[in-house]
Amino acid sequence: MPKWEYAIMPRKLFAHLRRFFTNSFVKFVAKKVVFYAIVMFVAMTFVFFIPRIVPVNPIDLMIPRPSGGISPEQYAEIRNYYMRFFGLDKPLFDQYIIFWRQILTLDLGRSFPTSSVVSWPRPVLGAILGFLPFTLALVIPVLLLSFILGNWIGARAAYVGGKRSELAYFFSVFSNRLPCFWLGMVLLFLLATRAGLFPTVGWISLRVKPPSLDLDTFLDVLWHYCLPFLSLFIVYLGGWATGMRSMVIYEMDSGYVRYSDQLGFRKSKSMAYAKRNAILPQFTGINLYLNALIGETTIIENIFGWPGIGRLLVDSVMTSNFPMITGCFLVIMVVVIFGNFLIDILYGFVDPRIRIGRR
Amino acid sequence: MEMLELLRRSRKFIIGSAVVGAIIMLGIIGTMVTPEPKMNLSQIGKAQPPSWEHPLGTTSLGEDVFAQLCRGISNSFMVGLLGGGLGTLIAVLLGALGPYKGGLADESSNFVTNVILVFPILPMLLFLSYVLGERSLFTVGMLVALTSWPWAARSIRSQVLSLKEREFINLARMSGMKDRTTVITEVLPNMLAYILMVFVLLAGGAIIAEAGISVIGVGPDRGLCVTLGNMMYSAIQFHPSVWHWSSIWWWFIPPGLVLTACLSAIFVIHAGMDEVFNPRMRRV
Amino acid sequence: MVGHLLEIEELKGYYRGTFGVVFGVDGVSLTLDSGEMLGLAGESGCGKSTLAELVSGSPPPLLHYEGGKILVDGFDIYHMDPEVLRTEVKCKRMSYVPQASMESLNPVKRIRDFLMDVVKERTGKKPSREKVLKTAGDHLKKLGLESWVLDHYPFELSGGMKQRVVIGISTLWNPKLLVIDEPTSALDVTSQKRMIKSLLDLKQAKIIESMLYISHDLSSLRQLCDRCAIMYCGKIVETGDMDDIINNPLHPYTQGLISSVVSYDPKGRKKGGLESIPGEHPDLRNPPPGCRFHPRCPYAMNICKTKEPPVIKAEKGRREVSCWLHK
Repeated sequence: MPKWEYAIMPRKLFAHLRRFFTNSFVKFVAKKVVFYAIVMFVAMTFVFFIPRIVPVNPIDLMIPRPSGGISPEQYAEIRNYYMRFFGLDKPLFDQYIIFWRQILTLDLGRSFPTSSVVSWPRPVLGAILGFLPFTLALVIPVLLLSFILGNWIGARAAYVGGKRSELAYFFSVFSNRLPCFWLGMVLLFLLATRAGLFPTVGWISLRVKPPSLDLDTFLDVLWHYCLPFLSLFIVYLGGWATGMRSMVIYEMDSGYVRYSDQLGFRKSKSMAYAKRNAILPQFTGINLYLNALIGETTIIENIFGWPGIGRLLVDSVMTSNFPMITGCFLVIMVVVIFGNFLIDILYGFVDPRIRIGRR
Repeated sequence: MEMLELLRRSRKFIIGSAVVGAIIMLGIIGTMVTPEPKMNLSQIGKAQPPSWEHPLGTTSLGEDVFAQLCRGISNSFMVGLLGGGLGTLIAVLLGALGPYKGGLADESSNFVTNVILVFPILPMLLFLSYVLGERSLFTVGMLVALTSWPWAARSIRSQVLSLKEREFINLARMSGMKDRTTVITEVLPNMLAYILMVFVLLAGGAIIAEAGISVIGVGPDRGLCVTLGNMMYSAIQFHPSVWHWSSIWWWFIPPGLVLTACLSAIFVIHAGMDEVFNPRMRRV
Repeated sequence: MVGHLLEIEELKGYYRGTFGVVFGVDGVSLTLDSGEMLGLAGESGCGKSTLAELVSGSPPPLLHYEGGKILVDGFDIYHMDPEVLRTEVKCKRMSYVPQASMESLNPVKRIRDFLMDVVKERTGKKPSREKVLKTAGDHLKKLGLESWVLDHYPFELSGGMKQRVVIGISTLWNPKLLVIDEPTSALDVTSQKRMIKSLLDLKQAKIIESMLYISHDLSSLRQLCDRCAIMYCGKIVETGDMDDIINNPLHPYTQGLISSVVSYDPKGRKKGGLESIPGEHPDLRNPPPGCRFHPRCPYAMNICKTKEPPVIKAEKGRREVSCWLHK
């Protein structure tokens, strides 16, 4: 290449990139960033203000009532001490500023002594990060696998048609209507206690050897993982299959599929066109499903004793572990917002109407 | 009222409504017919499998499961009605009036809806349950309504937007009717059927949301009232381990069955109504 | 004489659905010879598009072929191996351009990718990209499209452009017969003129031999077609040479149609009054007995109400009319 071409190479590259991601896509991303930043802000403010408006003060739940040994003055002194310690005596607005400062420095405070799961004074963030991977290990595979398999089943049902398709539709609707926690209980009942195929509780079996990173431990955890995973997976599989089947049937009637048929396409190729167009609106569904899934995972974790964020959140609620509730909720919001944002961007990339924009 | 006529002929709508109606009847009549479930802690009373005397057996505390189930159905449906009704109300207010006015009202209500749509429902419910402390049927219904309206508001908004473009609205406007009058006399009759559909879906969602938080233990107080979710929670709670509660299968399986049947019926109603509203969905 | 390119005899095609049975096409007979441009005219809802979809070989899901004969270049398309139909007849001998051509292109594929798919599906093997794009680009130029159109997505093109792309793709293999359904309805007047010119150019460049042109726009029919068939309520009521039909319509319906078109004399003044045919097109679920036009016909006789008129071959030319008046 002649030397002068090196000089214009970066400009060519830039032009290429600019053509690939035209202005409208960048605008789209920017709009989403702003939107989700606002959502985060609203969520944080919500988490901050709601508990403080309520008259029940968590400190009162923590300290013993002034009966027997303590006099009212001593009680007041202890109470004030704890209020100052946890920063609850300052005016509301100051607390708000401190709240934000704490969040931005990733200091979520320490867990209350009331918790049964997390001991005091363990830092909240550390505890949550210890529990978070378990929840993500349930949420992400369920979401991805049910999406892939469910959409495939739905598309296939639409393609095949006939009695088998009706049957598949019936089953997918039914499995989607099952309450996932009840399905978990039924699976526990049938497969764990009656058939003894799966363990009943926890994420790892009790043994003499502490858990370590080897194949044995991994398989053991996987064995414990099956039932919680299945309870969620089956329900969401039905959901995707139902939706995709309707979408594909709708797309099969559309102009471009019929035109492809008239041009002499094989049936499989026409169907591929229909599927490719039908899956686009499903992407927006992932957002809603993700939000619902986080909630359902919470319940499943409690039933199965799976040590995830949901379990931590419920335990904190039951034991009035104030900083932990706030921390859990915040982390859940971060996960949800981040997931939604990612999906929105992915969808904008996949749909050429958004990627290219209208000229 | 061609909508009503079509609905009456829709097979799915009839079957779905029949099933839901049957369950509600079971709840109401069962509550009236069966005696109040009393605890019977004697050895013979506790945890009996189904028999003639107790059609669904007894719980670990000796209460009759069938009687509990009927009361549970009634209470769960109350929550559904409350949560669904209130949620629909909020959704209609934010979803219908906003786009009808257009401009800033529309933008702001749409924005608010989208923001709250991102919040995950169950963690919010847990959080709010904790904050409010007292857990009665009414509070739970209200909370469910407050967390589930965004989805319904979005549906209603899209329906109103499509309706807005239709000719008869423009005609009414051009003839000088005020906005409010137009909404009441022209838009609402068309929307009523759609709002009914949204209500049905929200009520179903409310029932399962209540069951969800009850199973964890944050639902309505068991002492105050029993719901389907409460039954499942109690089934787990009163036993130290899975081995114990899974042997009393007649306690936790019936509530779930009723829930599933109810939700499936609501789906079928929804499918039937969808067919009526979207002629495209009518297949041979 | 060589056999007809397109031969339709007593073709029946009904829509069956939850709404009942709609007698879209109820006993239609037509012939089309090679080199001929046949127009098919009629009101909206008379069954023209139904006929076109039946001829195309892939009717939409609710439309069922109920009987009759369709021979395309000797191939009986409803009684043959679908695989042979796909490889030999479609696109090679007969090509169909549907009514809403805007919707006929896959929204998520660029035109060039769609083209590659078309070529791959039809020839069975993966062709060379440059060759396909070059051939397609040249072909589209004949229709008045620049080659940059290939790089774009359908939503980036205008309606007229999309229509011409669809016509271009349908004619890539030089089909003998092009069945084109209302290409001008969704276009503005300038684009209409351009479209008609493109179609004439195609014929002249020998890309297509003959055309079945379906429209309710009599002016475009007049510019394009040599012969014309008038359709009403699922049946053909008159066929003949274009000029014959315009100047000497035999069937009362044709007379009504011709006189309802605005025509100007050379000085720019409106010639004659604008008359419309009274009444409405009947519901095809319940066609009237006897001659289907009798409720709206000014010359209706008693026999018209009870018995269907046979096809009567008129004096000269290939004139046919279905009316008791000409018995």
